[in-house]
Amino acid sequence: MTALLEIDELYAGFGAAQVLHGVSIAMTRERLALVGGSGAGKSLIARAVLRLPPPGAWLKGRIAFEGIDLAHADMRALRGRRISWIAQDPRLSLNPVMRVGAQIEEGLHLHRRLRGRAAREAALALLETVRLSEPARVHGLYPHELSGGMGQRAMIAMMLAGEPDLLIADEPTSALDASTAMQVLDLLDELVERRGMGLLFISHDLRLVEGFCDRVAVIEAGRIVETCAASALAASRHPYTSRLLAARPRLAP
Amino acid sequence: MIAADGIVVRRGGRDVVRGVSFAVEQGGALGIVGESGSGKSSLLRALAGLELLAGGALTVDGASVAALGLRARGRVMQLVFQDPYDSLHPRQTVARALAEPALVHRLDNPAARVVAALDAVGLDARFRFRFPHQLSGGQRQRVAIARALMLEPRLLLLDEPTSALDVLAQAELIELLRRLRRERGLAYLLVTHDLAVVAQLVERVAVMQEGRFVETIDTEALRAGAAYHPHTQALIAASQGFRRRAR
Amino acid sequence: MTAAAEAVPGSNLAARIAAWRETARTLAGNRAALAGVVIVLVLALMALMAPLLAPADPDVQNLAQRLAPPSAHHLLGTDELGRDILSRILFGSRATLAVVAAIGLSVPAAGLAIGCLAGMSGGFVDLVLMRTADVFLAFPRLILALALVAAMGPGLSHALIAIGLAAWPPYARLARAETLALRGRDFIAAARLGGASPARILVHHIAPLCLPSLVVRASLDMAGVILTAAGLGFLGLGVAPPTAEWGAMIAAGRRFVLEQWWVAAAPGVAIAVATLGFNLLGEGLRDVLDPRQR
Repeated sequence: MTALLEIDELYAGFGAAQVLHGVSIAMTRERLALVGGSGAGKSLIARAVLRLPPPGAWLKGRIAFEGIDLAHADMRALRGRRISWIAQDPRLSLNPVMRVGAQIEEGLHLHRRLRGRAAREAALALLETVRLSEPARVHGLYPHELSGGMGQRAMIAMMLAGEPDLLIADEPTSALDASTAMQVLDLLDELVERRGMGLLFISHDLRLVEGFCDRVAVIEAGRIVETCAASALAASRHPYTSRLLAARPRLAP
Repeated sequence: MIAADGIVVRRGGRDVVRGVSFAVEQGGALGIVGESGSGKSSLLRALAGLELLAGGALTVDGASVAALGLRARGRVMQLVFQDPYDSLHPRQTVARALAEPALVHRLDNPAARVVAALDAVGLDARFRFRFPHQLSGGQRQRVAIARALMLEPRLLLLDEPTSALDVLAQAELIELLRRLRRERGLAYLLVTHDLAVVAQLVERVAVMQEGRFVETIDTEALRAGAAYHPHTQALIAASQGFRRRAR
Repeated sequence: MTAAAEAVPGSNLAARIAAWRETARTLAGNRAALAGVVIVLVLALMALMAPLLAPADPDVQNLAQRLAPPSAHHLLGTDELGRDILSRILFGSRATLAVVAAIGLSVPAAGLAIGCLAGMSGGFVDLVLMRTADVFLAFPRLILALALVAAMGPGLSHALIAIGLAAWPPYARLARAETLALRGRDFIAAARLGGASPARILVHHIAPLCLPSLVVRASLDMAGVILTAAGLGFLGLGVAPPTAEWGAMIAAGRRFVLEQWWVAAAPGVAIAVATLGFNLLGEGLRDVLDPRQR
């Protein structure tokens, strides 16, 4: 079976500063977590897959999605349609001057060729899927009128419009409080399961992904230092992994 | 040492804090937890003097704080902001930013105080002449704490100090805050949405929902899950981490 | 990382200098901006060293040699009074530089002060200052300058006052907008908690952050200022003759533009190049200064 996503010896950096030193990751339709401290290069990997490097960044290495080499692929056909992305702060990733409904319908138009009433109905259906209690009302709101949790759900709705096979979630709950984060994760859990998507979950919180993902890849200073099943994390001997696990405070010991 | 009675804060025509009362003794620590929108940050900012109180009284050692100007208040309590990327002036070096309170209050030997403050937060003196954009989030937060310590306040108001940091930086900052409190006998008023973090730093926790304290509970009881109010219980459940449901 | 990047500054001044060097390096990497810098420097040099560079006295008339085409003796030809055009161009740059220096240094500073004050004070002070700015803003710049010069009489200083009065409102509005945005930021709140008075916050914390956008605006504005000054000169309302001034030179050369085109073309090209230089510099500065706000 071809891997869903294959990253092969990825090097990346900004000018003279090198951030990624030969990262290799392979995943099928599973939930893979990519965990490391800030500055380790996690977001850069996400952008490399989407072929949207930040200004001034260079990338080197092979990335293949379902066997297609992304260096030569038509990325606009893939982005949103086959590979989607959720960012950390919905206020920064939603267009502030477009209503939420309009943004979702734009995705529907691009990826499923829906227009007019069909698009609006599909948009409302998506907003319902992400468990927003008043889909019609949210449809007409601007991003700044949404709370963090609502914004994140709207973002998920927008990103699922194309019915992607791979979803890259870049710290999707880091900007949310604990209760909202759990709700969003529960939603993601259901959607990923129901649609059979692959999920690349980027986070700095190992304890969070332990319960959410199937496998975990730990990245330190631009290198993958360990890959293991989520269930095997607690038994990990690698010093960095242990550090990350120990760093998260616990309420009940 | 500090007592609040019936604090009301209004924002945009709404009452975001609706009658909050508490007391913190010298060297004590109170955590305030709640979800986004519960009013906890507004409460803290109002206590610091950044926003007007629409009602209620705040006293320090029995004397009303309202009479004190912002300048005098700053010697009693200081605020550490949530966003490390916004709490430092982008064009001032660390030394300049730290020296500011000392200069304003005409304290002697500002340069030496700056070095001492950096030392207290575990940053080497050579960080003095760096600009904020050259520092990591954790380092910036330490500088923010150092700045708060410059006027030697007795109370630190901490507004989600670790929320914007990754898990490693967060652990280091929690350790720093614990050490500072031990060494200097500071009182803390810590606002956060993270129960695990608050349990590390305070003895008592007030749970805030929609502008009110719905429960005040000892940290020990919180750890044991012995909470009365359903909202508290919900927060405790949320802090347990994610568990995949059978679907 | 090179060794230079690792070196830690030893003082506030050293840190500032290092930051400036970094800005200069980025600016130098932008070819268009570099061209702008070169043009502006050449203009400054021309103005300062005109007596040394000019091949002839710009005011000496030689009617026998009037309207002579460019030659080895007069590189840009002569004008209708036989004066060497190249020398007049060089000396004419002095008027241009005077205008740029006077306006470029005073107007943004005045606008910064007014705008910051308005933004910080709010209420009645803000209202009065901004409505005053609106009044001056309502007039097209050249028309206003024209009216003022017509009322006060021709002359370089009057032209400067006229242009200055017409030019300040956009800077005030820009400074006010930046001040309003900065007031709510956490680091300003921290300064307040540190005990700083509003005046201190304005001068030490807010005004320095308004500078980059004002500098960019000023550079781009200088192009327009040069044109306005040339326009006034063209209409005979600027520098008094016989002093060389590019706009006046174009006006004088208008009559001969079909046959002795060089009389008008030379100053015209000079104005165009000077304007281009400031535009390129302004755009380069914007690329360098703005994103670094964070």
